[in-house]
Amino acid sequence: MISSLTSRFKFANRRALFIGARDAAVYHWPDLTAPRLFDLSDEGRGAFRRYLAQTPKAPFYILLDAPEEEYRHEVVPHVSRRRRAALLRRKAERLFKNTPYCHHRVTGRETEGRRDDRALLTAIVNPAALKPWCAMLDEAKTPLAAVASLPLFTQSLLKVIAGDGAANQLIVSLQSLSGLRQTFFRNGAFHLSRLVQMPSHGAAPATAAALREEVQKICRYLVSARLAAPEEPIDIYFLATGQLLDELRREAPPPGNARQHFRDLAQLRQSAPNAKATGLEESFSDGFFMQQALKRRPANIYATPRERRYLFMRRLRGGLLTAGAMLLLAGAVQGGLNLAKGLLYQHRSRTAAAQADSYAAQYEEARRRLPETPVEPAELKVAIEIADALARRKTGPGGAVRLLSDSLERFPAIQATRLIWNATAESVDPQAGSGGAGNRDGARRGAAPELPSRCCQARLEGRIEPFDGDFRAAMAVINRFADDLRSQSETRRVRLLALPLNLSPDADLQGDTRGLNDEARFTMELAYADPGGEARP
Amino acid sequence: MKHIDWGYLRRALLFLLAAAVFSGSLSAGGRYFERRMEEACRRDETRLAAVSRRYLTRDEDESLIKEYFPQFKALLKTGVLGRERRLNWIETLQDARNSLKLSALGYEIAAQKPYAPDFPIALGKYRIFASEMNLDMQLRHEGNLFALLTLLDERAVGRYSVSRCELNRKFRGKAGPAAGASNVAAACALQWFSIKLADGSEIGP
Repeated sequence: MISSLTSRFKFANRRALFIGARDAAVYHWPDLTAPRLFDLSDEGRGAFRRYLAQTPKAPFYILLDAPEEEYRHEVVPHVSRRRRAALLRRKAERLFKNTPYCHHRVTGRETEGRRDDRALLTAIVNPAALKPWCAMLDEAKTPLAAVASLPLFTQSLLKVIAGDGAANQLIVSLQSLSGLRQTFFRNGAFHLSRLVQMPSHGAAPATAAALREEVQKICRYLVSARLAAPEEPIDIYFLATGQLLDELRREAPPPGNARQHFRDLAQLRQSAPNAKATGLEESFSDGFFMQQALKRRPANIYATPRERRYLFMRRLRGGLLTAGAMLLLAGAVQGGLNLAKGLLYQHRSRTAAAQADSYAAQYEEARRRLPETPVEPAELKVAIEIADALARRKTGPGGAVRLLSDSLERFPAIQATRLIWNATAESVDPQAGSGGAGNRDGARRGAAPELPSRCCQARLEGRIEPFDGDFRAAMAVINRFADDLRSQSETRRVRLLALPLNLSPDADLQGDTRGLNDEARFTMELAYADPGGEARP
Repeated sequence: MKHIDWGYLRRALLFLLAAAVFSGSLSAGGRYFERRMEEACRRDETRLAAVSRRYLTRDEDESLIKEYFPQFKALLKTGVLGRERRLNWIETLQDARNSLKLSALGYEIAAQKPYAPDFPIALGKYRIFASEMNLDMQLRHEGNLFALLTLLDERAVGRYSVSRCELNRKFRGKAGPAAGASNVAAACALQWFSIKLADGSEIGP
């Protein structure tokens, strides 16, 4: 029987457990036609465990309708929300001992005095009514979404059952699993509730009479205890259908200052959007409340965090799976984009390679008609330009020898003994050494032509031969020789570095007046422009 | 956290981990593929641009080859391009000593080194190298030096430039220079140039 549930349960994403005083029943959303019944015996609990093991782990909503629920109204000082919660928690712990199932809520404020807060404190004073079911759910790793009680949940159905406006509302319903529930609301806020055991399958007239009697009792209590607003009548709403509803309507008028309203469960169900799907036809209210509970999904009132942990973990697991799916999607999108761009690049690459091959083939075809060159054609020209530049920059001592030879021919008394020639790229300033002993280039002074980078230098050492001891005549010959060199067009500078006699007042001077061993030696430096290339004398 | 049943979440955690790994792999693989293709594309487009340029300049290449290739081959043959010809230099020096009847002609060639020209020139794909040759000579007269340089110009394979020279005349009293004797001692430094490809590869077939 239970195994067949799996297929029917395929599309259900939530379910509810109604726990009554005698039995418990599981309803599936959205098909509420076949509730599963489990009694409170060991056998019933075993069946419930098997049911949990064989059905998907859809979240559970528990609606409890048991006599073990107690209610207390308290007035507490109006303090901050946090302090008020702590205050109410302590008060609940003091009032309801040895139960983890406590609840408190603020229902309003006093209109006079300190305007204290009115609070409702409720508890399942006997945890055994609820705890085994929660433990079985936890054991089966089935998420528990919420645990609410029928009286407190009824407050959220007031608009559906009674509409707006009435100050004193008494909701009377008969549940097959728990009995007669009478819940009183004052100005729309829960005030008290009473559960009375009733025979679940008695005849309609007898049930109606018993029900009417219980209603008269609670009305008398409400009036005598001044719980109902004295200036307003008590509006009694009977939830029933079929023969029971007809019997109730036939009964005597309501007691005292009360008004009766009859709500046909069949009509209420049809007003629900999924009424056709529920198919609820029984005369009790269980189905109606479970339909509303599954539809409205009440907030948790009694379940502890540990009992609800699988709901948290189910959501966490859903989040993890969603995150994983998102990661996969993102990876697929990113990878797909990269792949698409890569394919575009590949296409461009292939096109470019094909074009390049085509051009290269055409070029090679054209090149075949030309001789093979070891380097690119453009590089042929560069190599030749480098070689030409090296040839143009070629230097040699020929220029210096030619210059000196031309002048020496005109001065036979001068004998060259040593020539040191250097190719230098240094620029030689023609004004340099103007204070030197033999700087006689007066004719060129002021012209100061900029020496080309191809300026060469020569250092000439020589002597007057024959020398008769006449230093004056010797120095005159040397100076004339220097002037002759300066007159050459290539000459840039001539400096006499040493003369036969140093006549400077700063220098020491000594000699032999007989002049037997004297020599007339001199040293001069010549800078000239070399035209470059294959320079020869 | 104390109420969490990790066994309940194990599959979801494993799925998340696997999804992260798979997603990362997809993304990294896609990125790798894209980069590879991008590099290949850039390479092929660069090649296409180069080939296109070359294709468009083939007429210019033809005229360059016609104009410069003969000179280029001549430079290769004369050792200005490619490997230097030291054996040829030494043979030329030996010939010069014999033909000029020099009493002594010593040489010393240093290892080839890269040469940085002191004048502006576009080197392109080439690089200039230079080997320094030092010559010590005993000459009958100064003219022997220039005759030697002329012989090097005519016979030696390569291109050189003289960087330094020193000539010392030997005096033999009042009698003057002796015919046939070594009257001048000369020492010169020459730079022999070679043009090579900058990447070190050899020029030539």
